Amino acid sequence: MAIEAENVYKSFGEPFSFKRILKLPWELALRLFGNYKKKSVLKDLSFKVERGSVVGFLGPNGAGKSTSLKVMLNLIRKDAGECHILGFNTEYDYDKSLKSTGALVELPVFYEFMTGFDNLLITANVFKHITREAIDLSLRRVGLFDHKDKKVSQYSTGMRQKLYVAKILLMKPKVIILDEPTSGMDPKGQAEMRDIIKSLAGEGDITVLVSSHLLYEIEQVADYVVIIKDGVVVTYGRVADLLETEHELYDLEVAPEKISECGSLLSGMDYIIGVENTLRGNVPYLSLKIKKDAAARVPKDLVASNIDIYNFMRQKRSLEEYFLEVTDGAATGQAK
Amino acid sequence: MFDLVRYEVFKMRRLKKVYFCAFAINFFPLMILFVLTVLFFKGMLYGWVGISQQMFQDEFGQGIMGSIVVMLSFFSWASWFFQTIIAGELISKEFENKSIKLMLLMPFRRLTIYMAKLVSTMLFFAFNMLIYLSLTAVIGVALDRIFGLNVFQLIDYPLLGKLCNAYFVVNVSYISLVFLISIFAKSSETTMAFSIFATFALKAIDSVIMLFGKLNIIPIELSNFLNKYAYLKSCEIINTEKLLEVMKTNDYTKLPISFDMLGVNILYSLLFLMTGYLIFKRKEEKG
Repeated sequence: MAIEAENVYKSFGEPFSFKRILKLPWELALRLFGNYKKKSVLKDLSFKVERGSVVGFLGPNGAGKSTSLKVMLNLIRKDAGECHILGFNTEYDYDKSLKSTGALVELPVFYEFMTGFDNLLITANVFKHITREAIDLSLRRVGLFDHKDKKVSQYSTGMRQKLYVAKILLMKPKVIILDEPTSGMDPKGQAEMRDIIKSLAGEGDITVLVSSHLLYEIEQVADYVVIIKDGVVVTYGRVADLLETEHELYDLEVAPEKISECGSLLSGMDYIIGVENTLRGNVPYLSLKIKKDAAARVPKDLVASNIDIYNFMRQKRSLEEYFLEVTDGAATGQAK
Repeated sequence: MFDLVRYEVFKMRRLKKVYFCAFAINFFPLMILFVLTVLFFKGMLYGWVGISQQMFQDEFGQGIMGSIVVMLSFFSWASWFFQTIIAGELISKEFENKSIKLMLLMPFRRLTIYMAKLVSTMLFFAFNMLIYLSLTAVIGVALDRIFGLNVFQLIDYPLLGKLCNAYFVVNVSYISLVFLISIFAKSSETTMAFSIFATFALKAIDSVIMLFGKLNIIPIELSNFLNKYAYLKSCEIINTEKLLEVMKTNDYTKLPISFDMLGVNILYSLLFLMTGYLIFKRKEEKG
């Protein structure tokens, strides 16, 4: 396994502030009598990621996605449980676990006083295989070569994201963890980032765990998804399997005057599970729920009944629909 | 760890504040060099050659080591003051703007990261001490060549070596305290402010203990014992009376550079560094 999280718990106390100092005696008393409550963020989080796969890490706002990634990378300490990257415990062997891991957690940070090129060159002090030529190549790949001599403080959020990805590419990691890699990017940048992730997935044994609110993006690139809600994994599985349903959904458009006749006819068919009248704009159409592999019978029966078909199209369930189903319609960042 | 030290040095080389600090630390000999240059040109203009070696030895011979000690003391204080900025940049600021994440996500243990920051700050000090001594040597050469005054004959080299060693150890102690403070502080400026406050607060504690001893609030023996291990007092290298005595007798053991000072400083350094590291290790990246 490339990444493993087992029964991970994490809770946060009140952050440090001067007000908290005043409340310390009360807090100490509560701790003494066992009534001190922390905000629980991760509750028994467990999942596994196979080597060489691209996994989408999804969840509504506040579900604990970033906290999970930070715990896995040992940026914050967990209360209980174990995390492994490439078989190494991230708490006790984190130097080994991070050796082949490239990670972007939350917003990409850099040394603002350095140029984009210098921010990559500095890593050459640690990763000996990084050369100036490799840095140039990496910057070209993410489209930042022309901006390499600009200070990072002058970079936009999207440029920073790209620069960070260039840095990860330079490190040649086996595991890549990306937290919201397309946030702050324009549609072109998002497409470029998607292409980069896709190309990474094609480069042999690289495992990519990518957290994003953009479910369409994840659907495009991920083989598997992990969906978490309130710090617990609610779904984990192959994207294709999760979107697979027992029935098939089709939209049918016929002449408006024939729509009720068509509806009655199809309702009586044994392969039809449900028929629903709907409107798309001003155009009425039928939404059909059909038993598996029986869709071909619809046009045949309609033609036999002398009903002209204007449009008959399969509606695939999207990851977004699935996500809203399993998270009870919790608002996503995309909705914002 | 060597790789991480190189990483830190690379970062420091790109920081403008580092150059400002290096200039400020070496300001004293640079200023003397400037004055000498002015004197040289003035001498060239007016045909003035200055004083003779005999006059120089009579006037300044006894005090030359004292001058060097005063200069080194200035260097030590300047280093302490400006190194707080460096430590603030390397720790406080990185935690504040989250760029510490860049290092925390590297395949190194927290101890290695902490030590790399400490070593690179000490390297900065050693580098400055080298520049400082080189500039001072240039001043000596200038006095020799331009004014015909042989300063090098008047320097007590073993004493100078001991003093340099002592100032280095004292600086480790300063930096340890500054590192401890920088873990809590939010910026290099706050680190500097708190370091100054903490140093003088420690000095105040020392004074209060002495006062309590003199007023018999605590036993005088306890006061003397605690006073011996006081943080700032142990850093007082310049003790004019002791220095003059040493210069007369060449008995270096009478200078507070033995256990009195070095031992206590090493003890404080270890205490501050270990506390700092434990907090650094447990300090979580901000959510």
